[in-house]
Amino acid sequence: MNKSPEHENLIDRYLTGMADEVDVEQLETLLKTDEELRQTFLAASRIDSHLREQAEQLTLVKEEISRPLKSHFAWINPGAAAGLLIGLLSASVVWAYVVPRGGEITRTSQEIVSEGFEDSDIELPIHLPVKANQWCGRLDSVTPKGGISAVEGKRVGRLIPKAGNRSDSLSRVVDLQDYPDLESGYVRSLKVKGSFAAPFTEQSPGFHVRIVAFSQAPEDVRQAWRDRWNSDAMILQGVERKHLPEKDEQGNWHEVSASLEIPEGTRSIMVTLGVWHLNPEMSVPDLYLDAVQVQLVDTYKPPAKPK
Amino acid sequence: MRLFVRHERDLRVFARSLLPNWPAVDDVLQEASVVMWKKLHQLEQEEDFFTWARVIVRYEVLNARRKAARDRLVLSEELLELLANEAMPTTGDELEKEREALNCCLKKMGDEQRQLVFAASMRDGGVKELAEATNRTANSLYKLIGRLRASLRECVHRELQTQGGNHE
Repeated sequence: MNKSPEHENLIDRYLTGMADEVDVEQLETLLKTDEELRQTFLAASRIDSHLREQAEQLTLVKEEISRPLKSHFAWINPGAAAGLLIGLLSASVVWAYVVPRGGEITRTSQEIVSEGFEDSDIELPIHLPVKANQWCGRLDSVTPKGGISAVEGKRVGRLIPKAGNRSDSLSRVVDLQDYPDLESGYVRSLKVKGSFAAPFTEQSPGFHVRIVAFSQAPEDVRQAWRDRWNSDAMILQGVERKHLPEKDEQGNWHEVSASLEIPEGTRSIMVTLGVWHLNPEMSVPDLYLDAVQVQLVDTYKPPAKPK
Repeated sequence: MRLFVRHERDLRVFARSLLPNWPAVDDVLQEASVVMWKKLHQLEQEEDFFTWARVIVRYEVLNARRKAARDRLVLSEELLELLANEAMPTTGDELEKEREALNCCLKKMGDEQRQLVFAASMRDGGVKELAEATNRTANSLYKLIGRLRASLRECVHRELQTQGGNHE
């Protein structure tokens, strides 16, 4: 193991996203010529992966533990929390960020979207949103078939697959300027949940909920999302939760939730609920979506104690 | 799908060693899972899945690298090939032993130290935001987290040596 503190420091900067172009260039040169350092790098990246796995699980545990404390927050009921845990164990991806907390935690929540797709005449633009407060995607409203009952009401949303697409989704942009400013000492999160069902498929579709924060106004979000590979500055932060049901669970509803602590400087947040197909060449049947909820949750965070 | 789910954690470790951030890891694994589904008939024995899947992940990493050609914060294709070759021999059992060793080491840390280490692992730029949230300078916090991560790696190395593991 190469013990040079400078080299370890350089590797850490790279793995924690702190490296600049000069750092990456230096790391590249060192790694190309130093086999021992490559082993150190690989060991460090493995530990980074293991730490992240642990931190993801810790995030879920924190959510469960913090609920009973002076909370008006009724978003994740015990059943849903169990669903989240199952989601994590089967296959889920979350990138988020844990801040040490102390003292009591108080939360207030505001439901900003509750959608059961009961409007039989619903017609949505199919492209990514260019304005706030409008669902976009290939979806209509139907009475579910195949022995499935709606989670809420009588109708559900049907995601209409497009041949050859790897994923089908429904998106919406939330404009934070539509909501009151955050009070001092609070942090704001956006929480999204939705229920998915795929009763007629021969393949195993995956379900996902994604929340992405942008500094841009709603009308610029579509372009910012398309340019995400070209500029990191476009997207402030993102969270995605994926759920892969077991084959014998496909006829059931699967609730998938995600939450994002909104970073400073955010103007718009894009919420996406979708399905991805492992084999887009296979015929894809109807996929149902119901009981979508979006909430803003404000949590009081006590000021850090001076050291 | 069952095989993919069983090995996903280990495939993420492999992909992470070749990619600069976690969103890139997630994207590559999603693409790789599609390819695995299509080519599953080429897999002769289930016990070969991890090796077979890593070849596919490696291919998708290089694809992603080409798409991000303008990004100056990614390592070169030549170096990624080198790292992939050297990461391939690590087995799932070795990774499991490493996780166990890390758990032992984390238990030896204080709560605040552990949370600092986790915070830095969760997403790119997390250290800067954590510094703002805790009224410290990014530089001082970064140095502290760097020392904690280095001591964790050292501890894992010792634990593995004690157990007879051989990762280095």
